[in-house]
Amino acid sequence: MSAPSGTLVGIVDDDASVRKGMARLVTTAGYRVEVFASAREFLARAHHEDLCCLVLDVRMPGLTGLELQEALAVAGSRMSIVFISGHGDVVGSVKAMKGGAIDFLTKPVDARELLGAIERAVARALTVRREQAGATDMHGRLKTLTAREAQVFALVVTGMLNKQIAAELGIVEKTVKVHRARVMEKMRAGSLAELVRLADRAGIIAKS
Amino acid sequence: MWASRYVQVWAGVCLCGLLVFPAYPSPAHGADVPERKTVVLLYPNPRLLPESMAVEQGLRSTLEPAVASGVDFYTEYLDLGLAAEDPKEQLLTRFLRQKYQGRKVDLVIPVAFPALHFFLQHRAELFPGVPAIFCAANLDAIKGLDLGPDITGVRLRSEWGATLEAALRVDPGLKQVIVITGASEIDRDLEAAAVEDLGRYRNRVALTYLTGLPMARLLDAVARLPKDSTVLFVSLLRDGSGRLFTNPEAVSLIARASNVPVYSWAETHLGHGIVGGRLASFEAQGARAAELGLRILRGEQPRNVPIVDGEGAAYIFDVRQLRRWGIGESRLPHGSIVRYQDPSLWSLYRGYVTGGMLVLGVVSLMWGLLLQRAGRRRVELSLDERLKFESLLSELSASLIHISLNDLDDEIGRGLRQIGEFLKMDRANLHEYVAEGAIVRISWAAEGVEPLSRVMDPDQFPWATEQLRGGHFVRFSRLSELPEQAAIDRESYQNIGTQSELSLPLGAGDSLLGVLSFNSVRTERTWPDELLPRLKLLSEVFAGALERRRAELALNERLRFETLLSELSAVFSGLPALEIDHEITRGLRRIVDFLEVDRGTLVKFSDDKLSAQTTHSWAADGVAPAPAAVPLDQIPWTAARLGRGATIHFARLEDLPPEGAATDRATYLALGIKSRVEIPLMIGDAVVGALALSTLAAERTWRDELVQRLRLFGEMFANNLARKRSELEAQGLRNDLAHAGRVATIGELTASLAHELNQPLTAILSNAQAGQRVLDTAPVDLVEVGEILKDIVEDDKRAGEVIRRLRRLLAKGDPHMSALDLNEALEDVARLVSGDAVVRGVSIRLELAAGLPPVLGDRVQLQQVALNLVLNGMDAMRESGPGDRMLVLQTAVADTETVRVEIKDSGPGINASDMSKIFQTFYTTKPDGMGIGLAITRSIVDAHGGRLEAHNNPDGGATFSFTLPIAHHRP
Repeated sequence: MSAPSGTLVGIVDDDASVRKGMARLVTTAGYRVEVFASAREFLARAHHEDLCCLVLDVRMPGLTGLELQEALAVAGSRMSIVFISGHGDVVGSVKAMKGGAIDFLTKPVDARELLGAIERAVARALTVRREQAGATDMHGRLKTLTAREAQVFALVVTGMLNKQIAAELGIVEKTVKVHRARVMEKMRAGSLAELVRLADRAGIIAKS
Repeated sequence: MWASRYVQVWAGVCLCGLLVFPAYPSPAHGADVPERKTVVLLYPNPRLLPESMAVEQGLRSTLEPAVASGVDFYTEYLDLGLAAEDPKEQLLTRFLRQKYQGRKVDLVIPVAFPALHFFLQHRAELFPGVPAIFCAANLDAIKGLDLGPDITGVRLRSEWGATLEAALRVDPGLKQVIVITGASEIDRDLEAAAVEDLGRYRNRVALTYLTGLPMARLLDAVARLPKDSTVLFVSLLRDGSGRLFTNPEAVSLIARASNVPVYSWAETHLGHGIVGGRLASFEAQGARAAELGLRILRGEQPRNVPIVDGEGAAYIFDVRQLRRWGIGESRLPHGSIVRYQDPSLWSLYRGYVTGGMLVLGVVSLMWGLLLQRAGRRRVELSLDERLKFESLLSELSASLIHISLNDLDDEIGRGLRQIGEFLKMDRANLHEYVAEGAIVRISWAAEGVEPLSRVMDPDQFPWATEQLRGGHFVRFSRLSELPEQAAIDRESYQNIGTQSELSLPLGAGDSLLGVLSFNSVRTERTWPDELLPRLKLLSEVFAGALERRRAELALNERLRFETLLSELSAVFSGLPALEIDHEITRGLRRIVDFLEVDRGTLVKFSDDKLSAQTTHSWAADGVAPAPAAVPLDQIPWTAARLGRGATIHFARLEDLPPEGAATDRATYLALGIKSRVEIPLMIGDAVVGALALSTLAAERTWRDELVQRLRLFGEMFANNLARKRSELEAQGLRNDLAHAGRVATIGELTASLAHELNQPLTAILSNAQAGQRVLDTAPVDLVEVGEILKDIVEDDKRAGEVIRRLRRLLAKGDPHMSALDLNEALEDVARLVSGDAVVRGVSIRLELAAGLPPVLGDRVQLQQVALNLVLNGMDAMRESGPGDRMLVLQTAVADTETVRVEIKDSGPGINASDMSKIFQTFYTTKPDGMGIGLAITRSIVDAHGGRLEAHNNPDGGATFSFTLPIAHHRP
């Protein structure tokens, strides 16, 4: 199984030999690799969005792997992280997984395990990307709604009937139907259910 | 001249103060002598003086005949008159102590106050428990003298007043008295007595004291005295310019120069120019002292023998001086003795001349005149001669005492020449017994005569030697006088050309130092009895010199020995255990050199006591080395003796007991050993080995004293071997503990070690699997594979290094001291803990001084020290915040001899209450700690000659620092 070529994987480990060996291995699997000697070095690199996966050593001098994971989360990044550790660090592994890591491997790392984890990480990364892409799209669509359409949208997703919406907004039912159709069109929703989902995603709280 | 009857006449008229010939013990074949008595005479003057001769004359003539078993006199001429703290006096007391140490002394006779004073001061040291009789000591001016117990004596009373009375009788118009004394201590003491005595005449005459003037000035002064004055001579042994005199010499000079009469107080001065006076008799002093001495020697306690005053003082005058000054005999005090009446032949044979028988008369007149002149000349010669001989003796004794020992032989030669020439001998010789069987001669011969050879074979004169050993002298005028038993001697004398001989022993009995002999070669000659006492005195002078030399040589040798011993001891004190063996070998070398033997070895008896293994050995150049081991059954007698703690020494193999040590003899013969001394080495009560010194080339004797001294070396070696053993044991224990500490420390590091090993293992796995994938891809990139393999090898080696470092630290070996690069060792330690540091979030900083000189130490142990301190430091920072954990390792040169290592942490520091306890064994602040870490660490630093200390940093945290010695080149 090979990944789409050009997928970028980052490896952060303070040991040079480990970096080199792992980089080699990962490269043979068809990925592009960038290596970093420390967490700080990684952070100094701008734009992490093009990195699909981060192979991260847990214990490092200076900022540890777990601390990096936390920093990324705080910054809003949804980086796929595969942790590798030189110790059997139970506490660390639990924390790592809770923080959303793809996997937590122990050194010396077997190729199949590592590459498998990277694959999953990359897949997840693509999904995230798509979602994010989707999210961006949706926000664009929201913007195209007029004020009245937005109001209607907000009420439709609460499950209110057209008659009720008309009463709420002080307009006739026929106008509501027209706005509703417009919203469906603009939001590219095929059904009410979809609309609700979109609303949920957009963070429009349903009134109850 | 000596045979002249006129001498006998004068002797009869009693020229006291010069010598009277004593009844000399006849040259009998000495009967067996039971216990002889030993009497020591102490004179304050450094040489023979007429006064001392007179005292001795009185002493001996009274004492010798009265003691049936015989008396040995030892005469010491103390050169007093120096300050009490003078090192010369200390040397003198040391010499005397050595001389009389083993000797039984029955009586000590200090003569004159200075000798008495010296005796009282050093009595306990020199002659403990020996009774004493002082003699001829004028105590009148001495205040507060505490004689102490066991001493009595004969006092010399001041009679200067009486002399002055006589002078006043002779010249009632006397207005001034000039009192003359010299600069020596004896002079001063006598002057003090005179001042005291003459004080009461202060109103009758003017008293002027001329004290300590140079002779020239004195003579000048006495030549210009006013008519109504007179001179009173006290004593002048040393003048103001340091020139030495005898009193008769001095008085003679003064009397000749003086323009007024000279009086004095001692019989010994009479006949040399003084008018006379109330003269004390030294001979009477001596005789009286001898009487007291007899009582003591017969067993009476001194406290029961009261102190007496000397008698024999009398008004005695010299008729010639009376005539010179025109003093009539009627003016002399009643009962005065007038001496030097001239029974000249002229007056004796006056009758003949006045007989009127012309021919006979003329002839006899002529004969008489001739005889008279000859007689007078002879008389005058013999007086002069006597004076000259005494001066000669006096000078000789002084020079022999003062000469440096290197020049002694020359001085003896000179003395022999002077005496030989004076007495008109053909040969004068001094034989000295220098060692077993060796006799060295100093021989002077008159022109035309062969001197004797330098070395003599004692077996040539067996009979004579026996005589001399018995304290008798040998005297013969012709060879035929020698008895039957002296057949060998006769032949030997013939060989060296001796026709007549006089030999006197120097020293006596077992301590026969040598022989003084006079030979006549060209003709036969007789040896008159009168000669003997003077020559006996001379022989004592020589004997004293020889003894002094022996004592000083022995002292020097002992000093050298003791210096060597103390130098070696100094080397050993404080020496690290590992260097003891090397220094023992060096010590053996020095002993071998010092004693001039061929080989020195230290052997250790095996535990089963079956063999003696050589542990240390030194052989002189060209000498075969000692055998590695000798089975003790090959030297059973030696082993048995050593086992009992006894020493062994033999000068030749034959000295060993023939039956008991037959095996030993054979063994030593096989080993080529000629002479040997062996000392047991004891640790506590157990004999663990021996120190052996051997000669292989030649035989050599060992003095008992030397063997005893060598025991001290044996002790020194034994002590140091014991110390080495115990220190190495302690070392072993320390090692064990240090090892345990290291193992425990390594246990603490397990986690970080696992991490450190994991890195290369991870890299290797990744590389290898990458390699497999590369091989699966076509085309295969072999270059890539090559690089992969290279990296694998590198990583493997890295892992190996970690293991190796670990193994080294865990090794339990003996400490190996070498010059090592401290920085490199510390870097190693930092690498070892790096994993741990990461785990704990500690930053380690190395501040290692560039160009740090190498230090002397054991790498593993020093790394253990650093490791322990670093881990402690990291532990201390457990509670600190993540960014605040900083450990600094620092090295720097402290001074020319040391390097300092500092390990600083940024923790909370050490509590003041803990500061003093942290290095104690079993003290710990860690909940799970054992508390041995710092104690071991400190002991390791101590063993390296360094010091481990701790202090709190001003900016927080603690610093542990230790110093190490810089490794310099060692000679």
